[in-house]
Amino acid sequence: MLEFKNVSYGWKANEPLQKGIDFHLQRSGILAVLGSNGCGKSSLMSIFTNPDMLLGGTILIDGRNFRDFSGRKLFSVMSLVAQNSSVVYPYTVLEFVLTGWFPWLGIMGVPGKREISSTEDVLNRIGIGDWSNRLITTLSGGEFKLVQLARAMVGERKILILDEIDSALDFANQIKLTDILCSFAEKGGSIVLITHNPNLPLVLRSDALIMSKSIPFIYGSAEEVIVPDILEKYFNVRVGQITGGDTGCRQIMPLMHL
Amino acid sequence: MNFAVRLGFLTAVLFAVGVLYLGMGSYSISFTEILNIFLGGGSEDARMVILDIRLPRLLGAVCTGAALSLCGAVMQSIFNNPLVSPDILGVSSGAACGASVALICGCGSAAVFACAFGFGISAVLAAVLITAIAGSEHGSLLVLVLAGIVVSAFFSGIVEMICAFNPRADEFPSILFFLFGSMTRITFDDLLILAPVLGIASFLLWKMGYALDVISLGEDDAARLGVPAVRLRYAVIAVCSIICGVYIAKVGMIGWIGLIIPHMARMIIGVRHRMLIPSSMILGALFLLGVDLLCRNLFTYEIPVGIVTSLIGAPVFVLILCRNFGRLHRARV
Repeated sequence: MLEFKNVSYGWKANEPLQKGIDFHLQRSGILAVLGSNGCGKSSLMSIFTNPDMLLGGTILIDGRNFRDFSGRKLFSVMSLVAQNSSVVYPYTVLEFVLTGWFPWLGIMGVPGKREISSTEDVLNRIGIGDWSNRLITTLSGGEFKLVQLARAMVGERKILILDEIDSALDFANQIKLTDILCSFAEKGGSIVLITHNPNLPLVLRSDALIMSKSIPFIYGSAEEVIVPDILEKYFNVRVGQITGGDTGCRQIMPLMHL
Repeated sequence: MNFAVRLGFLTAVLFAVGVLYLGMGSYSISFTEILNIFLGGGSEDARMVILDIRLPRLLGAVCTGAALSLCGAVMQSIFNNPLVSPDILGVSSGAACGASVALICGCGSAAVFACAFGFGISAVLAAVLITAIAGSEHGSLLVLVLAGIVVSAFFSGIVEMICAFNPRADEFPSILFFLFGSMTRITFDDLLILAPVLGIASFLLWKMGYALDVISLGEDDAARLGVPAVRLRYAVIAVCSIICGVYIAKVGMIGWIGLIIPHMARMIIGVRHRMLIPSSMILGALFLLGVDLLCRNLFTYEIPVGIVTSLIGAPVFVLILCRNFGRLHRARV
């Protein structure tokens, strides 16, 4: 579905943020991207809106070079949710999520009954169906993240690239998020999840890619990559792990000096 | 109250103010006589006052108010900034400079119009050129706004210099007339240009209403939905610059309408552009028509309309800010 082949990227031609990134995300696959601040995690997503950032290598979507897609076609296949977003005008939640249909409707289009009905279904699936008439300027940061996720999921896109979608969510919504993402993947969608939470890829049983400014990236399954030795090497902090619960799932925890 | 009902109400108020506009003045004409005139009757004097003087002026005020409000609403969206007015890129100052230059050269009205329009468009092009030279794509909106401020200041400086050192003192009132704005010189021939420009542009921009909704969320966000944000930005700037250039070249500088009317329309009607555009246009037309009615009737002499729009517009904007800015305009991080 989404393949990065020896990708180097950066904002300046002679200063790549990362080199040689290789991963292959299949249908129903989830890839968690972790790394220290400033190592280029969010910039990885920016390649799709700023193709000049691609300094080397190839990015394929269903076997086709992403540069061969027109803007609207590309974003009818994939959706990007940024880490930070500011809104100035008080659209309702429904009006905001309806903007997600742009790749299909185009400049002169307007959402009709089909789009409105489908959007309401998405809002209900995420559990925010009663927010339709709330103003986006009155939402909390976490609430706005859920609305952005809803917009990313309209139109049956196949690839989601989510930048720290979990960062502002409360505990219950973080658990709801994992259910939503798993459900999306089970229906054939692929997800790239940029996160600071090393436990999320363990819960999702996803692949993981860890980046650093100073050492080459590492990529593999979460079980192989999200281990104390590797996390200590990439983040320069001491971590431990516990295993427990009904699922026997491993969890990473920091070993802090108290 | 749904959108159609609210819009219908505003249109009815506009119609009522229009009737008042036709009847009120140094030569008062009753509603019955106005109706009679439109049905082909009425006295010769009343027909001349209505058909040759007040009606073209009414239509001019309606079109100008609608045009400036339309441009204000759309520019605030593409700049993602509720404090933007249609002349942010210098079209007003450029037009004022062009008109001033043409007037001190002793040109006729057609040449003054052409110079004003040409200089107005040139000012916008200068701002875009400065942005292209100075800015990268990242943050280029801010550079564009700053370039517009610089260009406005430059052309305003030339106008001030012309006013200070103009050897042809008899042109000074005409220059002032342009700087303060007025509906007095609009004729039906002018409306043959003004109305179609507004009609075509407003239809195009209304059809693009959904795309404007998307781009008003920010260019980065719009780009993540496949919007050709930069191209759309410059296309909209081009359309708005032509509208503003044509209208300012004809009626002079009339400020504040493009800034405050879209805010009032958002409060009354909503923020989606397919509703915001028609409602801004009707509210703008209503506002300018009402102001021009005041200007004609408040004193025995006529006050330039641009003075009154500033005197009313500034405190109205403060009211809007105090009442709604904190609630409506909050950045989300």
